[in-house]
Amino acid sequence: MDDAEFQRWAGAVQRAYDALDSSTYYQILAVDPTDPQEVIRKAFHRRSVQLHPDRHRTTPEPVRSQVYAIYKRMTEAYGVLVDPDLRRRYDAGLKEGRLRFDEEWAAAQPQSARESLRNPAAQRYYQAAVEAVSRGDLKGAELSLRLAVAHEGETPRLKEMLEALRARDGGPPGGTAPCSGGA
Amino acid sequence: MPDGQPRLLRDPQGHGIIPSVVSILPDGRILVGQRAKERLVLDPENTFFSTKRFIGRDMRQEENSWAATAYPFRIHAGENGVPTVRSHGREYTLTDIAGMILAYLKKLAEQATGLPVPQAVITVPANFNDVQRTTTRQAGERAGFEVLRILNEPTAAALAYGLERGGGNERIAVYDFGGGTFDMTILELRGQVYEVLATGGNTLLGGDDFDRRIFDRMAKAFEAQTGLHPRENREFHQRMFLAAERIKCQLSDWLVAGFTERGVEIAGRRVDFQFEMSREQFNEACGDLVDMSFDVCDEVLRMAHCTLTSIDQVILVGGTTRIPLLRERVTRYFLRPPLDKIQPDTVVSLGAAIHAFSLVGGPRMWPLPADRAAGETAAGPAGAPAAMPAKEAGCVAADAVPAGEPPRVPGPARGVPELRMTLEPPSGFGLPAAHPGSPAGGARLPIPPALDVSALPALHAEAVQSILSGRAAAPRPAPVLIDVTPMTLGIQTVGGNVEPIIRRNSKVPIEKSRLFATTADGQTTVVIRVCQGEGKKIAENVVLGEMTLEDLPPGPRGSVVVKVTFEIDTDGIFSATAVDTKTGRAQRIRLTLFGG
Repeated sequence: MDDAEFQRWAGAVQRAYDALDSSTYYQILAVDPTDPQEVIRKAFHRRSVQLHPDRHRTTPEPVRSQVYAIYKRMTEAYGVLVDPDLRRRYDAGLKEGRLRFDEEWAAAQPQSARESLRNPAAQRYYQAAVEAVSRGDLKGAELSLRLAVAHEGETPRLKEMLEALRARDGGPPGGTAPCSGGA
Repeated sequence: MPDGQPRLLRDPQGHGIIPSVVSILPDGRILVGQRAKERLVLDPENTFFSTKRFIGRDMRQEENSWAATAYPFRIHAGENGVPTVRSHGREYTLTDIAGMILAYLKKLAEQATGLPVPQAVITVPANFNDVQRTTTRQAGERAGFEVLRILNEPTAAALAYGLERGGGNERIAVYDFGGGTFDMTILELRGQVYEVLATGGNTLLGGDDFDRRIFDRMAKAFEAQTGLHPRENREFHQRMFLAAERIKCQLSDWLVAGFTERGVEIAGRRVDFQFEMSREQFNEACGDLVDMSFDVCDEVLRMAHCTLTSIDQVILVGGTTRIPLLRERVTRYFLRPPLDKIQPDTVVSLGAAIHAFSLVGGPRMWPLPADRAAGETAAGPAGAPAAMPAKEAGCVAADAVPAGEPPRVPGPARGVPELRMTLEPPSGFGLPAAHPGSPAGGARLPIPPALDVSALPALHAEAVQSILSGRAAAPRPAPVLIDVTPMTLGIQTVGGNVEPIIRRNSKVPIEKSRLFATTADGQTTVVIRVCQGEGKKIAENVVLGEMTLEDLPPGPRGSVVVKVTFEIDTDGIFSATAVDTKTGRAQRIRLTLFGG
C-alpha cells in the first residue's frame, strides 16, 4: 500500500463520510432496495472486513474517526435492513424522505404483518416464509405461507404476499437462487 | 507466541488455571491464586472469591443484598453503590480485587514468557452490562495493562473453535455455563467474518447454584444427624461449602461422592458428620437448574431467527458444562451432541489470545506512519498471543478474567519451556476466505459514488500484512468479529417507564440520537437516567447511572433542545455526547455509574 493509494482511499472515505447524512441505508451498504436479505448480509460482511474498527487501530486520523463513523452507520443500517419487519417500516418511512429509521415515527405507524397475526403458529410460519424468501426459496416460502393461512385464515396481507410469490415464481429460473450466482 | 500460535501459559507450579481468589494478610501483603485459595478455610473473612459475580453491581439494590450474608466475607455498598469489601481495617472495591488478580496474571505471563506484557484482551460473560464491563476494564488498567478489548466469552470461544474448523459457512451455538452466569450465543461463521446473530442470558443462574443445592442438602443432613445448624461453627460451615463444590465436581466423574468429618466442635459439643450423594440424587436436586438454561436458548434462537436444525455445531464453555446431566440434556435439546474436543475451561482464553494477536499484529487496513512503525510493528506479526485463564474458586467455574496478552517486544523465545501447546498447528484454517469486494461487485447497483468504498482496492489481510512488514505473511488472517450488545439500552421517562434507545442484539459499535428539551423556565441541567434490560419499567432493569447535561443556556422551557447521542463501542461500553441544537455547541455531560 503506497502512499498514493492511501491518499486515494482516504479521499473516498472523506466523501463517504460527508455523504452519510444524505444517504439511505441502502446506499450506505451499497445494496439495491430490492435486494434480498442474503445479499444485504454479504454486503455488510464484505464491508466489515474493510471498515470494522478493529482493522483500523493504526489508521491515521482523521481517516480512522471517519471510518468509525461510517461503520457505526452501517451497523445501524444493517440492523434495520436485515430484519424483515423493521425493513418494511423503514421503507415506508423512506417514502416520506426519512433516511434514518425513526423509532418514534415507526411506533406511531400501523402494526407490522407479523404483529397483525394473532395465532402464534401463524406468526412462526409467516416468519419462516419471510426467511425462505430471503434465501431465495420461493417454494418453501409459499408452503409456509399456506400453513400460516391455515392457522390464521386468509388475511389481506397474507393473501397479498401469496399472490406476489406466485407471480415471482413464474419468473426466470435464475431468479430462484439470487445468492448462488453473481458477485 | 513468536510463531504466532496461541499457547496456554502455566504458573511456576505448573497450574494452567489460576483461581480468582485474593487473600489479604494482616501486614497488607496480597496473595492471589492457588496460595490465596489455601487460605479460604484459615482466614475466610479476608479471602475473597466469587467476586466476579458482584463486580459492577449496585450494592444498594435489594436484589444484591443477599451478598452480604452469602459469603464468609462481607460485600457492602461503597460510594455510588460500588461493591466493596473490608480487610484488616482497609476498604477495597471489587475492582481493586479484580485488579490484583489481573496484576498477578500479568506478572505470571511476564515470568513465563520472559517478555514484558503491556497489553491485554479481557473476556467477560456475554451478558455483562455496561457497568460490569467498565469496571472490568478499569481493573485491567489498574493492573497496568493497556486493555485492547473487552471481549465476550462466547465470541472468544468461537474464535478458538475457528482455528480448527474446516471451511464453509456454519452456524454455531455457544452454550456458556459459568460459575455465576449463563448465556447462549448464536454465531454465523463465514470465511473471514464471524457474526454474532443473537445472545441472551440469565445473570442469576450459574454453577454456584449447583453448589448451593448440594450444600442445602448437606446442611439438612447435618441438622438431621445432630440437631444443629453448621452455621454455628464458621470454619466448619466454610469447609462444608467447599465440600459441596468438590462433590459437584467429583460427581462428574464418579457415581457417588461424599464428605466425612469426625469430632466437629460445634455449640459446645463434638459431633461426627457423614454425607453421601449419588449422581442420581444430584441430578434430581439440580435438574431444574439445567432446564432453566433452555428457556434462554429458546429465546435466543427466536431472536436469531434460527431453528434448532439450522445449528451446525454446539460448543460448550464454562466449567459447569462438565456435568454429565447437563451434557445429556444439551444433546437432547439441540438434537446433536456438543463438540467434545473443545476444553470448556480454556477455550475462552485461547480465543482471547487469538483476538489480541489479531488486534496488535494481525491484519490492518493501512500501514503505520513510518515514525510509529519503527516502534510498534517491530513486534508486529511476531507478537505472541498467550493465554492464561483465571477462574473462580474451585474446580469447575472457569470464568473470571482470562486474559490473553500479546507481548509487544520481539525477540527469541526465551523462557518458553513453561508453555504448553494446546492446539495442533491447524491445517484447515487457511481456507480461501471470502475475498473482500472486488471492484466489479458494485457494478449492478445504483450507488452514489461518494459511498463506493468497496470499489477501492480490496485489502486482503494477508496481503497488507506482508506488504507492510516486508516479511513473510502473517500466520493467517484473523476473522473480523461482528459482535452485539446483549441488552437494550434505555432511558427513564415519566412514570418510571423506559424508552429503549439501542435495542439488544444490535451490532456494535452503534449510536442513536435523541432530542431532549428543558421542561422548566431557566433550567440549566437535565438529568437522564440510563438503564439496561428488557423491562418496560425502570424497576425491571438495571440502572447504569445518571447522565447530567450541565451548563445549559438559561431560557424559557422547551426553548433549549439538546441532541444526545448514545453510543455503544466495540467493548460493549456505553458513552454519550450532547450538542445544543440551536448553537451546535458541544454540551458538557457528566456520567455517574452506579456500582462502578
